[in-house]
Amino acid sequence: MKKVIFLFPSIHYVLKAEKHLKKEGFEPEIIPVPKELSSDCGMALAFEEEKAQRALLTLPEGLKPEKVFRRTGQGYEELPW
Amino acid sequence: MIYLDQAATSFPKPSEVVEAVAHTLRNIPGSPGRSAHKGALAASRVLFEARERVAAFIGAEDSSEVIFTSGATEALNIVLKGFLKSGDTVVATSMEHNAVARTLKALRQQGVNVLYAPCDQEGFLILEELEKIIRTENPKLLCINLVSNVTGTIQPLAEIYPLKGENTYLLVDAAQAAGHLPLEVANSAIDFLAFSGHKGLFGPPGVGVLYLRRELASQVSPLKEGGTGSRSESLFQPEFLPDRFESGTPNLPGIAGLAAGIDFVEKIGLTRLHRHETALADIFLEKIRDHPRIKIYGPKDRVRATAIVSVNVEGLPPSEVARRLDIEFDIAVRPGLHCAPLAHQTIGTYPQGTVRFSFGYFNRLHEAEKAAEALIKIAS
Repeated sequence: MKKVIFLFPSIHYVLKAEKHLKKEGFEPEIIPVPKELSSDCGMALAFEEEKAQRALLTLPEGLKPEKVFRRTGQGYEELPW
Repeated sequence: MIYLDQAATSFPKPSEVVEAVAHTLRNIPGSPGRSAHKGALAASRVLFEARERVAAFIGAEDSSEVIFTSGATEALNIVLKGFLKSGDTVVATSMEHNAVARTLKALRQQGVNVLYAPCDQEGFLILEELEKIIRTENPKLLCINLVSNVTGTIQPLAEIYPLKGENTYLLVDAAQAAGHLPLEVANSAIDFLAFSGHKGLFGPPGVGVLYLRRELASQVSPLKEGGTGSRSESLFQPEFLPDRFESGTPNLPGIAGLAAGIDFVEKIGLTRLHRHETALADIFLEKIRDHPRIKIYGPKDRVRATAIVSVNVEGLPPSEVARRLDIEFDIAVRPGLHCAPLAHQTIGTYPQGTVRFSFGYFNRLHEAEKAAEALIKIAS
């Protein structure tokens, strides 16, 4: 299961970031936003932990996620970046 | 039927457009951005790809600056009502369609200072007058009807750019330009661009586009608030684009149809499309030109016009000419004022209006010739 989750303002930015990252060789997964992270009914991008940092750096300004979380045994922790 | 009312809405639509509309209705369950199931994601992808398609077509760097609307009218209303506040000044052309003119009339009652820059009898802005008005009034917004729906007159945008002061923003109404002339917002002076999807771009009715510069978005109040699928916990409309201006379930079949229409336009090529349409208009004009009872309006130099031709027959009201074309010759045109009383005042045809022939890519040579022959018979 991919562990690092990027949250965006809306589905437009999720798909825009996905398109950008796919061109750069990443394989993000689109997942429903876990209800613990947001009351919203939207989607998010999920990455394997070792790829998340590079994905963050690859995204241009304007397409950076609003928040980044890591799935832990207990729940989710927000990652500062 | 010979359909020469292409400026009202293009007909027929390319089969690719019909297929794209049908595909979404048949195969895409769900509403974009409204849930996380596979159908909603598929719908979101259709919407996203269409937005990217439109952005590429008009040269917008960022597709979130592309707002889908119900048509050019809504796009124009968003800018005029959302950007202009009481005490602001707006300058529009004397060739405006009612989508702008009626909206400005309503805004005038709310304290917006509305001025019209004069155009000559062919519909062209008198640039010295425009410059004078901009210099003395320092308007917040300049609104340009790029192509007249009455005469096909193309305003010389490149000559207008330098007249616009730094404090003046530019709104271009491209309802009759999109799909006929190249539209490029990157590296242009255009701040807002409005166009419809169902005319030159061959989409279905009920879909249009507003392009607006990202940095201006916060200065434009949304025309409507509502559900966007995003930030649902907040009772405030989202600030970010495109959600700020797109409340309610989008017209996905229409939007998919518009994207397919743009694909079609690019497959044929804008230059070829425009050449085909204007060649038909030229042939039509050539045949009727010397008739003593037919009066032709609009640009004499047809290089400066699209395939819209307005005429009158001496002694006959436009509605009678149109009726006879329809009943006796099975030719569809549009008589009257074309929702543009200001334009008709400018070209001297108010209040009776004109008979408008508008040609499109799917019209054929023999149709233009038959229309000319029919008009000559009616006039003789």
